Amino acid sequence: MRPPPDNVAVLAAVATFLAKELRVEDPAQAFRVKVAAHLLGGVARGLKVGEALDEQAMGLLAMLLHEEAPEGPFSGDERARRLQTQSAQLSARVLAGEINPDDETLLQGLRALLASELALSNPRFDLDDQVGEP
Amino acid sequence: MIAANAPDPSLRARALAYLQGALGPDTQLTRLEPLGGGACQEIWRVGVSRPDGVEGAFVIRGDPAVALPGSLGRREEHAVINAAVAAGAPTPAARWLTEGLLRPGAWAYTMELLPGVALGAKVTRDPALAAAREKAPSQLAEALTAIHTVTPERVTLPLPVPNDPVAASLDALRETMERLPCARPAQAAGLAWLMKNRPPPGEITLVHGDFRTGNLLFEPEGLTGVLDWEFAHWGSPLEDLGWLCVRDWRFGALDRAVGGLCRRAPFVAAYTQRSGRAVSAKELTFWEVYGNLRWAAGAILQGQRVLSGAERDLELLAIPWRAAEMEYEALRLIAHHAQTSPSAP
Repeated sequence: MRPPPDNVAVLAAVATFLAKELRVEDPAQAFRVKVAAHLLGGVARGLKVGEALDEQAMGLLAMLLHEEAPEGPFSGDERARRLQTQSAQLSARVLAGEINPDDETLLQGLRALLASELALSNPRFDLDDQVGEP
Repeated sequence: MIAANAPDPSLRARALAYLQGALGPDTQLTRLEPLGGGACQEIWRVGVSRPDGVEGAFVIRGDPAVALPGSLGRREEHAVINAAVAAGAPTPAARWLTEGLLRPGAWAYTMELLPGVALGAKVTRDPALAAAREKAPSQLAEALTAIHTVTPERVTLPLPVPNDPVAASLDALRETMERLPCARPAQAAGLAWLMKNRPPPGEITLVHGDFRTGNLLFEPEGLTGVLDWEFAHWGSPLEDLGWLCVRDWRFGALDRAVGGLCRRAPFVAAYTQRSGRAVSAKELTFWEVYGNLRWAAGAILQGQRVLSGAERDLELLAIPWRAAEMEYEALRLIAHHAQTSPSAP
């Protein structure tokens, strides 16, 4: 087995280097470096906790579809395929009027799904902020 | 200037002839360089001087090789901008429409280069612009009121007039969602909520379509210009108000819902005072939910431009992950509306 660092540690270190250490004079390039660091941070978080969040999302979608939660474990590709299928089914049912868009369970479930995505893409997103009204 | 950005000599010659035709035969071209934008935009910064000492800075905007879906060509944009200018909107006039200047068959026009800052992070936070932000409620309301005085009854524009502007906007949103590479149940729920809570068609006016922080130029004294008219259309005027409140345009200034510039209440009051249009909280919520969903779907498609190989821009690749933020905001608005409107279903 390859000795440490593992993939997560390398990505996190490179992201930190890009965000905090590298000094780029050209403002446009400096901005791109920040974007690159942000993207790598998202990838690192995905490698670390993406699988657990996928499992959680599959469970939430199954709940909203009134189905049994799928029993894993699944490969990454299989998880992606299942999530896409469940998401498409839920979207179709909502748009067909089979599920009321005001339904509290639906709205809470969807917010929980998005919260787990945001934990990967933007952990600083404020889930409790009130629609821009202090 | 780096060599890769240098215009080819024939473009320089064509640009000189074009500007001499517009400004006089003794006009000299002092500057011609691409202005940001990447492959999807054709924007050139131009400097001219004349023997009488007059110097000018302009921007030439041309048709891109590949247009964004739903965006206007420069010929239509030229007509829209000049209708808005005639109505008193603070935007530089579009001048000297021409064909074939930048590429065969491509239309282009010229605008004056306005001073000011558009960059979201600066506009929402720079202490030097604090006084401009103070004036934002009235100045944004004034600009939108002027744009919204342009109506199909008064002005003929090369844009389709919808029978029902609300239905047309919902159709456009649904079409955008159908092009997404992945299913987004929160967007589906948001669209279903919009269809259930749609307001009556109401009036039809010119809608800027991208009136938001980032497309508004400010100087310390206040708003100096409204840019980027490529998403203009006939529609519901309130669509512009909702779009300005989309979460991403706050650039981190989250307690200033209106583009990170001011709160909703003074802005809506100023708009109502100037335009005579009452804007209910329910209608504003409807168009805010609509705007957040439109940008959530649009953000995912921005990334597709990179993944399809049409563009190579790291920034575009980072945008799709932001979709969840706008979807979350849309759901939060729906929940907030249910809490604050006891009579809501």
